Amino acid sequence: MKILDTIKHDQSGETVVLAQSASGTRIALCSTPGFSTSSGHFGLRFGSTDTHFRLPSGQEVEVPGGSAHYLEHKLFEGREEKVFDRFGKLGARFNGGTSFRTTTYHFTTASKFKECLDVLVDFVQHPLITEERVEKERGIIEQEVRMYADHPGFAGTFLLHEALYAKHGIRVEPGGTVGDVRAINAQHLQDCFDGFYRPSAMCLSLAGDFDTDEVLAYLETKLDVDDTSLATKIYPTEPAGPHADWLEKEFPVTRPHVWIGWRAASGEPDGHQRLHTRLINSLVLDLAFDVSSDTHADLYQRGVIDDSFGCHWSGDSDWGHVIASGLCDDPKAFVAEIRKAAEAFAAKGPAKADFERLKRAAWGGLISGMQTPTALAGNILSSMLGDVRPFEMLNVLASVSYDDICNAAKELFKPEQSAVAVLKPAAQ
Amino acid sequence: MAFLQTIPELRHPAPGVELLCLPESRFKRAQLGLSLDLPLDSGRAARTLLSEVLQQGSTALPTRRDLSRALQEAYGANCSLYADRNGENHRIGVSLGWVGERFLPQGTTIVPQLLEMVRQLLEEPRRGKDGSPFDLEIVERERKLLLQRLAERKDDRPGYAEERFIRLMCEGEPYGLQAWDSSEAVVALTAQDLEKARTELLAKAKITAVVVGPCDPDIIEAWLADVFGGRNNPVTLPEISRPVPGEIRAVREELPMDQAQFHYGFRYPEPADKRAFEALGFACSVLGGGSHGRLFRIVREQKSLAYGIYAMQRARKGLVTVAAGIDAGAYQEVRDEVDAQLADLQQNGPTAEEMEMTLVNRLDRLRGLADSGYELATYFVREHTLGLNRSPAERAALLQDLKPAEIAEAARLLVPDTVYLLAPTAEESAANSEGIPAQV
Repeated sequence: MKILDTIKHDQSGETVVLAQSASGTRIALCSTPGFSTSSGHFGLRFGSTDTHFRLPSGQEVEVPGGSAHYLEHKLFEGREEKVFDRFGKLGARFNGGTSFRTTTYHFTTASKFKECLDVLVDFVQHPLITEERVEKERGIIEQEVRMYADHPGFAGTFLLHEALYAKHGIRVEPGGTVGDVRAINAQHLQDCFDGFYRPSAMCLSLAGDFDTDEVLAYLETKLDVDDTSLATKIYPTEPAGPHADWLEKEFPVTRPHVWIGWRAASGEPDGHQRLHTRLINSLVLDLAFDVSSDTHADLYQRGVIDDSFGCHWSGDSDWGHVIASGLCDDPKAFVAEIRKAAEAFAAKGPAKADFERLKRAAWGGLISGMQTPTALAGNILSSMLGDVRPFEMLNVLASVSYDDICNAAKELFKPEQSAVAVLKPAAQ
Repeated sequence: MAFLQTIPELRHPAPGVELLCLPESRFKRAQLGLSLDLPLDSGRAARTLLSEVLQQGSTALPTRRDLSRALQEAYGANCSLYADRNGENHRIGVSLGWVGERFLPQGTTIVPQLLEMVRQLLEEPRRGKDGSPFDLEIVERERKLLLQRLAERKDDRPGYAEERFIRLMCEGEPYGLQAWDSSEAVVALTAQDLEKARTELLAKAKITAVVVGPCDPDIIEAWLADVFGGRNNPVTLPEISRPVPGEIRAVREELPMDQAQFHYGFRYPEPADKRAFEALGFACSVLGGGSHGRLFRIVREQKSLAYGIYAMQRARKGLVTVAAGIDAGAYQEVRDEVDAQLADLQQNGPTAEEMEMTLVNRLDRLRGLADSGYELATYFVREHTLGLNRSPAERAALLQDLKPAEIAEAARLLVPDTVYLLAPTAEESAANSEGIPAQV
């Protein structure tokens, strides 16, 4: 086990030791003396959009949407004993999650840290995938997918993704469609596992009141030694500009739900730059549309928006967009008002005092998000999977300048990059 | 790690005001919660709208924008008000959170300013012109928005199903009432009604405050004494009703949707003592307390009928409710499985494995409480509300001493009352089964 670095973060009062196993698994350990719980988060940069890839053997593979999520479920099956039972006997809280680009697994325990860590690294590294086991899980995952199907926020977001992108994997929800779920077989999942769940791709983040040296020595014996290469991801070439200007779908809602998107010219392959972009664009959106903004006050007072209104930035190596959404009576008027407000903000720029105030508030939010060992370990794993150092977010926030914001605002709300999705009430 | 041996200090800073103190310097963020409780009476519509109007500004900070900016200046503090039913009371809640001052630049103080902001929101709201107690434009706007939100409740199918289930199961009991009364009651409100509701709330409500995290409770106590010290006649809240169930009722309602929402409710009489109460919680956990629960292991893991199925104890009211998102066609199978598993638990008690898994699960939660402000506050407020006031160590000792026969006995207290299914309309069901190809 090689110690790479020790990061002492003065503002948060936390210290993280970074290490790497012989096979390249990256490890972060954050010691939290005095806390009762410990937490382990294990993950990799492989998510729902990674459906087309070339295995090290040269074989090209295409799997249905939802395969990464299905695989996450199957890992919880374990080999001899279900992971539910193994963690259950230890009394731990545990779960997994699949996003567009990552899959993560985690536990939190107040009494059996080493035993839980053993379960975590074992079940993620050593699955048993058979047709029978895959079949058994299908009904459960189908119910999970259908659970989201009734959610207007979910349906609207993915309708907007369809409008913004012609081919991109984020057009499909991480769980896939019910049709995808029914098409997935054991070979698909085995290919995904063999291609991406390699030691050199894995990141492990641990936080708790433990002895760092002891944990590292323990991990030395638990992490697989394997130098198999990773599969190569193949992404479709996405045409520039939105795929459709305006998409509508009937949905069982009371009033129209509207999503407006603005695509960025490109994604950000570099992790640090991606984080920088995310923070800047999030600040731009707060300055433009947060409750503290003049724009929000005006739109709210005139009844254009209500408390259902919100906006956020989403981006990764090959996509980036803003989403603003809300409920309204007249989608066309709503869209015109929001676009006009966004363009006016971009032209005028924010007040310097507003920028400083929001930066300060963002700092408070980030510090507050690092409270429990669970939150710390999850936060640090996110940084690792995003290819940035733990706590780098606070440093990047400190470096954001007023000019950064003004420049980003000008780029963010270009009319030709915008698309709309509407869930309209179904005809009675 | 050991269990917490103590319960929080309880202070009485003003008549009808209790303060639970959970100072904790390890945390980065402090949280103050105020619960102002009154009966679920005819004033609840006014209080619900009032909670929206009060957040629009005070005399000192007359707009939402001003309030929001003040919170941002305080390094991202948060403050919000809400109205809801809590047990069989109507609650106006105030939530205030801030970053611990030790993380702020040296000498920075934000707590007094934030407390003053809350005081102003409650005591010095933004007034209207010509002596009106509130700005009428704001009242009208917030009324319209509240009515819209009420009309849109159905859009959240799982949330709406739970609301309908509780209303049907507890029809005729305060527990089955809506926190806002009705849309008609909201329509009829005047600014004067809101002012009457505000003064009554501050003068009469039973107030429970809990402060957790990096904060000196003395500051909160002094503030509460200052704001509420002049009260002299706070309300005595009514006892919660626990009717005996009659015949089991099965209700099916339909809406356009994809996944059906299944709810099953049971009632139980007041357990004889703390030990019996703990045994009942244990039985509920064995039945459906998480991935170790029977229903999860059988309905999900063995039969693949649901993504999740859980049982929840509503301790003050004496209910246990089971909920799951399922295919409507699996309704009878799921219902039969719940009945079968409960009957088995009542007759045979938990297995040795279930005893072990449920025990370690519950002990782990108790050990871990100390790390989360939210969980600490939730635990001790519940203990306080139920009049139990047990430390985690006391509960842990009790849990470890429980026997399977006691769990079975506790499970026998559960009597089925209402089973409810919110299902897709017939057309929707047909579309679901026909519209999805078996293979893609």
